[in-house]
Amino acid sequence: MIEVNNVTFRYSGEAEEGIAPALEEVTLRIGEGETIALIGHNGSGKSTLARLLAAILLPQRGSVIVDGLRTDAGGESLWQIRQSVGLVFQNPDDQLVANTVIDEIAFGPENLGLPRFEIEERVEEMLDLLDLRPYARHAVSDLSQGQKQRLAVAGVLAMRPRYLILDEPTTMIPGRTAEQLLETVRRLARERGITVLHITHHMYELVDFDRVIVMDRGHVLLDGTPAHVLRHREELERAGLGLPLITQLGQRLRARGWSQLPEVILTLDDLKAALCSLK
Amino acid sequence: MLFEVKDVFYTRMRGTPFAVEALKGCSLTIPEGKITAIVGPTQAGKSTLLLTLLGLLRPSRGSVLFRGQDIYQAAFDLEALRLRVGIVFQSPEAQLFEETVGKDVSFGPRRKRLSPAQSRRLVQEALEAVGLPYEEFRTRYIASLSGGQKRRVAIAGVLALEPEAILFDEPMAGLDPQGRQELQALLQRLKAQRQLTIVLTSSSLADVAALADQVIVLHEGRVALSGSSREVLAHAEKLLALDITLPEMTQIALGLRSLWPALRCDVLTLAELEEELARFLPHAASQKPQLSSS
Repeated sequence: MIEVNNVTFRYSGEAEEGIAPALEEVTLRIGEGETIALIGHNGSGKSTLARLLAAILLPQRGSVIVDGLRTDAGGESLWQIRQSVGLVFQNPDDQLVANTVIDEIAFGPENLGLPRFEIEERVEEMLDLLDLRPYARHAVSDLSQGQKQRLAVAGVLAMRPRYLILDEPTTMIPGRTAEQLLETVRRLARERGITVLHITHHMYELVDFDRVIVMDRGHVLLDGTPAHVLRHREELERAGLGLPLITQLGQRLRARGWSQLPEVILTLDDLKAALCSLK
Repeated sequence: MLFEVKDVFYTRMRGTPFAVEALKGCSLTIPEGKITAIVGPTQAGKSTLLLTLLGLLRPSRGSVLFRGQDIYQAAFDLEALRLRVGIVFQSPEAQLFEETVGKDVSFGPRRKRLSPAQSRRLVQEALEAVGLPYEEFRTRYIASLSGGQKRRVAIAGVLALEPEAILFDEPMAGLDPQGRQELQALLQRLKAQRQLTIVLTSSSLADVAALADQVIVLHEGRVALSGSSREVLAHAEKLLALDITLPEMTQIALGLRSLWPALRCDVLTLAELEEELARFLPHAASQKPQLSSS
């Protein structure tokens, strides 16, 4: 479990300029095996929260505790936390270090000092899991953005983290590639019990997650199932987030007289089922 | 026509084992004063096409005409073309190199040896045009700006050269929904107020359908489809097969076709989709007569 207790974080220089802290008194629990979508506008604090969870940033007030270890305890704890929390950045170019695909996946396990056969086994496994086998010996620089993003995820998963944090991994890659990547990640989460925290600003992406956390100006605005969160239309709009179009369409039809339609429609299949019942 | 591209071929890394034919007989026209979106999956040849328009990559075959003149003829003045047609590369925030906003945007005017007063006027107009008030941003450090602001500074840098047309390579990539909306509004404004011709590339029709006067779909170095957004969206199934991201509205309409095969999917707004669906749904008991204007 990751516990975020009353955390406040301010970037240096912001206090003098009178800018509000990036995060203010945030408290959260992230349980084992949950798949969570963290959504919010630019500047809502979602990336800052991700960096605090991965111990890249340390809270100035409050604490972040990963499986019983405080992120600000330093030393051995920090190593353990960095191993159990994997972070994939928005732009894979910020993350990839090696020349070839195989070397990139092996980089993490090598630095953990694992024996050779173990490294090879993990590389093989990741090549299959993330569909990278056709490019195994390719130069990283020759990959497309989508392939690079899959490679970044492979490199992090090869360290066998318990928590996988994805910081807007779908902004730089085209729509369908993004969908496939998210599907793979969710499948892995289910099969291996990895906790996934996916940061996004696309409302339509959140319907496939167990839990949705909405951030606004450094605070947690809403926290619950997708259906629960989407019932709070006004709060979402105040946070600069609109309802997914499919939900809006359902509500428009309801307002137009098809009042049997449910208030919150999340997916195309839900919409189809609801419309069929009208027939 | 501002540009005419006639049967252009281009091979990347020609003469090496990695040679790729990026453009394979590409023909299209770009009208003046309009917004043209070049849409296609990665590797479709979109960026290559932009570079050939500016004379930055010479096609292996075919020709590119600017107002009727072949730009790859020896007598053609490419320098003059590049002053008239600006380009904003992908992730332009990475190409800002000066310390402050004012210095970066004035780089072009200074290179043109304009007087300080003229240069100042151009910088001020360019910054105001992209929604960054001059007095407030002139002395701001580039490093202190957000990604979206940096992108606008890069656009201002090109505007300060007073071009007649600007080519944008994937301008929406990496922006959040609000950033996309702001950029769309900015491009509309530039077209309306400065009569700028705008060409932009995207792998997603979702980002450009509401914006573009003309959509050209590239696939494997050739034009697969072209027309207005609506005309192109009517071929939604084909677009999907080409791995092009469709507007959410079109995706929903397409998904509902399994219930109503005749449902139109060239809908651009939620209101249009609602109207279209209402034609197929049985009348609701509690339905009120008006509301169709909502």
